Amino acid sequence: MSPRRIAIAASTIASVLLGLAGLGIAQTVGVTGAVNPNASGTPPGTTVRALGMGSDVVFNERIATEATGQADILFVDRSALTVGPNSDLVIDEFVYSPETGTGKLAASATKGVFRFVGGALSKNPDSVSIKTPAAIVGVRGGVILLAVNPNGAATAYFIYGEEATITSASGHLSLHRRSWAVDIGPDGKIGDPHPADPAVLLGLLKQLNGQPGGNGGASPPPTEQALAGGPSLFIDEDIDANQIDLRNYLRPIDQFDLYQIEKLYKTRQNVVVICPCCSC
Amino acid sequence: MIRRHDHQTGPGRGLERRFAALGIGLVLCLAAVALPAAAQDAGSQRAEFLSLYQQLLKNPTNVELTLRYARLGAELGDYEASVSALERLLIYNPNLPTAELELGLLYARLKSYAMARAYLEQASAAPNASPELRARAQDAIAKVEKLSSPHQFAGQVELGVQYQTDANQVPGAAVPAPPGFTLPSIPLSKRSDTDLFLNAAGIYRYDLGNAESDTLEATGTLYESAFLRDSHLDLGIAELTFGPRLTLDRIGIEHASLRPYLVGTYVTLNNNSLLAGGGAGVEIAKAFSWRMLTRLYYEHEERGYFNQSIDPFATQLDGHVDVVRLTASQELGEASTLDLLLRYVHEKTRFSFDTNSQYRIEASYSVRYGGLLDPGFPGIARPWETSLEVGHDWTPYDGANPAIDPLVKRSDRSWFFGASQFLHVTKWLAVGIGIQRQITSSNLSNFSFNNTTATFSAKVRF
Repeated sequence: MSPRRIAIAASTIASVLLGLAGLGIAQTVGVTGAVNPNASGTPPGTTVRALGMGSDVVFNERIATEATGQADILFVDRSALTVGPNSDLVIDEFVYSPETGTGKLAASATKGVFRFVGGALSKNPDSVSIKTPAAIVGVRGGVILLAVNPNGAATAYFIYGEEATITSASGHLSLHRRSWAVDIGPDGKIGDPHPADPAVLLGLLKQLNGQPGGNGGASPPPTEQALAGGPSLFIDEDIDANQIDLRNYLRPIDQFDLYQIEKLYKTRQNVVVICPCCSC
Repeated sequence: MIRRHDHQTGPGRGLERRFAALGIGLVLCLAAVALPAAAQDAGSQRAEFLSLYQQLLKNPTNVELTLRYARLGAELGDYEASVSALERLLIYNPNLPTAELELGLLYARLKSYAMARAYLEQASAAPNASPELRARAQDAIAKVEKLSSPHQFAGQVELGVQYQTDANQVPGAAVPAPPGFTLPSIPLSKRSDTDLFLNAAGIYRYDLGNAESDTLEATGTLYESAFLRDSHLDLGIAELTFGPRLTLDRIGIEHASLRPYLVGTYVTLNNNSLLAGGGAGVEIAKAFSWRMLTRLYYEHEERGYFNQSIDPFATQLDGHVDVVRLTASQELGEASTLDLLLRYVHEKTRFSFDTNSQYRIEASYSVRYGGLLDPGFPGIARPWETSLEVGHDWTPYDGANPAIDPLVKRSDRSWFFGASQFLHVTKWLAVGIGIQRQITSSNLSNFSFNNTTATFSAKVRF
């Protein structure tokens, strides 16, 4: 398919989705992959419903959780969005062309804790954004955590990927360093990037990774015994692969470079001029 | 006058062509076989990966599907898929230290060390963690601690013995002496020799701790050889570079860095100083998403030579060296790499007959594998490493040497071929053998030579 046809197809899909939304027809953008009560969804034009495991999540749906509620949304582009307790979010826009992997995902978060793990869409620039009361947080190719205070302040944690961007009325910032964070004031003022505190990350993970007594909708939930018996995803050596990255920047002398250096002197042996008329 | 011969009729020319054809053919064949095989393998894995996700959308709580999806994502380099799958398991059950350990290792691999540490500490502290898992988590925490330190160091040391058929790199026949000239007493005929050698390189990086991930970087290279017969061939080379590495994300170029640096070189021959040099360079490195790392350098170095009893006119080589070097390293599949090098070196000396330019092109291919001959060393999935390399350089000189032939400017051409076979005994140690062949022809016969080098060595990488 030519790039022009791809562009036409993508824009057609986008137009259809937007049109369907305008007509009030719910368009599924994903499903709930995990839910701990209480979590609710409000599709556009309908009443609040309790989210259950495997519930369809639709375009323009509002997702809200209470103190023990959590929801993990699996989008059709393989993105995942975890909504922590006491959180509120609306999926403003979702356009995805499976053929090209392009489209757009936009959400608005008014309060709470969120984790976005990128899928196909986030591999493209300017395709995934989460709007907070004071700024727009974009993510490309990776994982971010976002904590939004009800007063409008927020902190974005760039965990992995190509880039997180923060755009507000007071400016724009791109963050490329992993496990670093940026604070956003309620007035949109963007702070200086700083390393994420592991203790703070641990606190956020506790809000995002399951609740005591909850099973996320899995019945029965996975057990440690079941997992421990399986093969490991990563062997410890893989951490050392980072060391290999550093070794790529070594400047070793190889055998043939030696020839170059040796040649300079050794081949001169053949042309040393010895004065024939004296012993000087 | 010393006799000269044309490139087209020089000794070893036919052999040179045969070697060239063989070497280039081998490297191209291996690359041609490896590239489509790797692409096909990745294509079928990708299709399975996408199919698994469709199944997960219908049945998200299926743990087996989730784990298969996570594993395949990691294999394909789609780490976000692994992250989301494992983290979803923790929503189902927050007391899964195995999942936390895997996530910790995964984030460490992704260089997100604070996140890695958060997960590993959770895994280590989990009441239901087995002693083995706790030990693995503690071990990983120690590694993450080390990896997240602002001080990073890596290097490799090769120690070995090598035999060269023409260690002093002169023609097989004695060099004809010009009338009225006396040849020096140094050996001017081809001599084989054996030497012990040390080839070491290290890199130190200091993280400046800014959001751009800029670093200060120092590299060191050391080479020492000690010959058993002709100690005057003993060579020592030390090189140091130092400079900041500035990431180019700040100007919108991702996975790229610029490194201005100072360089210093010191070379000894027969344990006497031969040359000392100092200069500056700049390097641009860029990693591409298709797993290719390219590096482009420009380097200028002023060099001063020291006269020695064996060469009382060495200072006539005083001058400078300019180097432009482009390297590209392409990973093919999981365990093989194709490297390409283009290099231009201009060596300016006091006399035009010593001043030269060298143009080099070089390709090498290396592959790691296990298979039937796998000796089963613990933690070594692919213990065998085979490498092949082939290259060519052309070195024209600026002027004719009146002591040889005032009408002919020297021009050398070299083909070189190498192959090595290493066995990785541990993550850090490999032992192996190598063979290299260099065929150099020149329009002045006393600069033509062939040299074959056989090497046995041990490499330590850290």
